[in-house]
Amino acid sequence: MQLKIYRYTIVAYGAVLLLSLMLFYLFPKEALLDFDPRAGAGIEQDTYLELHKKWASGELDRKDNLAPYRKWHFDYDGGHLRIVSGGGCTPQILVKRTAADTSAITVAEYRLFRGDFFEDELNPYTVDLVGERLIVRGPEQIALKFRGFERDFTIDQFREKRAGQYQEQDWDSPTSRFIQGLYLYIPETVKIDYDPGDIFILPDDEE
Amino acid sequence: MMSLARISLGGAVKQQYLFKLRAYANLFVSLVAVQIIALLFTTGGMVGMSGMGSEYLDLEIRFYSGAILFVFTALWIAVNAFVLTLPLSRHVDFSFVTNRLSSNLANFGFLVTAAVAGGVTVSLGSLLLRNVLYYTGGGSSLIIGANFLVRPDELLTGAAVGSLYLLLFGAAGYLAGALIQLHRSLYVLLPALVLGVLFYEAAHEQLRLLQVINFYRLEALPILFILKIVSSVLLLWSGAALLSNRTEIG
Amino acid sequence: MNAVECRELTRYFGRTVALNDLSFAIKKNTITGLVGPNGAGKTTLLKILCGHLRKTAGDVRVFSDDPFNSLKVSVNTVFIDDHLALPATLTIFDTLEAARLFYPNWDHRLALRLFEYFSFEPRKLHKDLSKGQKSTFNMILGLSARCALTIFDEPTVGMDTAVRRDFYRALLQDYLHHPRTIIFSSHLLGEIEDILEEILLLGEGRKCLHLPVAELRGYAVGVRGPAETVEHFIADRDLFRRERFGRDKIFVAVRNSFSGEALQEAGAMGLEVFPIPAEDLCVYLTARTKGGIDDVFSED
Repeated sequence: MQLKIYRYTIVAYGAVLLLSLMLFYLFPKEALLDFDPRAGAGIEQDTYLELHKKWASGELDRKDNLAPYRKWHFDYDGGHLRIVSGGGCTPQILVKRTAADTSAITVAEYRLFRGDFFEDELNPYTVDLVGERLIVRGPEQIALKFRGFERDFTIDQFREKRAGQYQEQDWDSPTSRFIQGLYLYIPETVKIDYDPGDIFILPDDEE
Repeated sequence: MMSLARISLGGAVKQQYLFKLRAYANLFVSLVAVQIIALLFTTGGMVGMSGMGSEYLDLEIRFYSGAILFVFTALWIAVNAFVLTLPLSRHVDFSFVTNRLSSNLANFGFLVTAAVAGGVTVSLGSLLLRNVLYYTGGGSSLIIGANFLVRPDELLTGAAVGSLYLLLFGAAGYLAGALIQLHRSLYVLLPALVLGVLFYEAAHEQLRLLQVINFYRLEALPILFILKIVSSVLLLWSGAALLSNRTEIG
Repeated sequence: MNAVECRELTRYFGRTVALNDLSFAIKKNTITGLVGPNGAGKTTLLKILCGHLRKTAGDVRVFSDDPFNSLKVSVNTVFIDDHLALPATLTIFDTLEAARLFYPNWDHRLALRLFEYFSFEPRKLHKDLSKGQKSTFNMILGLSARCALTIFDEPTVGMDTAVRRDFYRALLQDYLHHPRTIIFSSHLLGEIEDILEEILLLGEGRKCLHLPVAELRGYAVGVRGPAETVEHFIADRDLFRRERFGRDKIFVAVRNSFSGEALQEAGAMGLEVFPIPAEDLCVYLTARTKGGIDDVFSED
């Protein structure tokens, strides 16, 4: 009797393990993230600085392959514009001056991605013009939780290893892999005014 | 008139081994329990990167590994190998047909079985972990593909290598048990000695223990790895068998 | 042919001597009772015979082999005591099944019939049995193993009288059908005397007596009467016991080497002469003093 209970327990566990084995190999695991946070850190940081520099120097809109993600167009002939934050994350804004007779404000959200899985998940900016106030609402933060696995150390027994270093633990921060910012095209005659505590605006250095 | 029965060493060992598989079936039940507990611990995951990211993006990556499962299983086999050498286990052996050699040999057979059972279940448990997290984790789109898949040949390698390591742990536990049976004072002295060496090494940053681990861990040639483990195990077992060959069953 | 032979067998535990220069032989296919007071070395001797303990000096042979680490001795010997260690995980039925695989001569039919006779619940665990049930179960194990050397060390602990009687009957029955060498140690010599053929009496690790039971019965006589008359009557015969009672009366136990006429004379001299039961004789022989506990209270 006692023995039978033991046998059932052992057989049941064995059955679960075998079922799981079949499940693992018979049903292909699709749509796994093709993203390895452990691949090549260090280099990425440079790339990010490069990206940021490009963004800051206003080059993004000159790249042919970088279509704006979204564009807003407002007719505007006022002489003063106050840019306010409408919530969300602190907007990253670069102001570009256009000819005085344009009578229009153009806003473009540029995204520079590296084809990562979370590209589609990111929220967009929203921009509204109300009277003399340009309300810029930064993208809502998205929170992503995902799961990674370590290889069992037993599997790697027969790979060449160095003493004291069994696993490479270099992580690449995924946040360094994208830029999401706004370019504002505002006639040079319009006077701009904003609260620096709310909004981060880089003036166009080109001039 | 009763004629004398005959038995060979091999016959006695085989009989004892089969007996132990029944009498110690509860040890395999405890293996199941230990592994389930280890898997429960593991499904919590280790937070690799939390709160990383910018204002736009909050990323949390949890990493899962079969390490806890292996460590628990290694403890399981070491403890049970130790228990096999305790007087109570010896008494049970000697209630039936045995001598000290056949009792030891049957225990070795049992430990090999336990190591293989442990190695295979650890490997399969690692797949079970992946399955559970895949099917319960809010969609496969949030599982990093790297390291998730395990090729069948990798699975086999893992099970074999795991079994060999477990065999080593079992043999170490068995020798420790046989040593401690020599004198009552060793119950205190042996653990004190081991801890003392560990603390000394840690204090002097020598960690020769690490060199011992590296002796096995860094061996990338399968044949040499097997040779290293098997010869170590045989050495540990011979020591235990010699130490316990004069043991009294009181 | 002897099943067991010991020559000058000695065993120390630290400085304590448990067996002292013990020499004896037990013939094949006999039932021997091993008796003696607590601490006489009975269990030590039996555990050496079945290979559990080592000897310190001397020679011990079981079926011509040194029993320590001998598989031949192990497979032909079953040792039953009240500490018999059985796996905690097996039911008593599974335990019988396991034992069956170990002993080539195992009689499973007998085991099952005894099991049923004593109404055992097959699914019970050995540890859940009462003391007496454990002893009964162990006895079934010992009998069914049909080993050429079957050793029972105080096997009746906790058994009630009825079960003890059943056990003695069963042992005798099985022995008659399947003769083998049986060594039986017990405090209750009076109860087992009838099934024994030989008695080996130990005292303080030494052999006191090794005789057929029949001889032991006539071995000593008790004489009771006035002190002077008794002393005169027994002359210088081996004295085993002297107890005073009444004002000047004594009781003695002496080696029985009296002729028939001498015994008749005794009646005329006003002495009571009677046989000493084996059980009492064993007590006298192993006592440290001739007066027994009376000596503690004696003024001299």
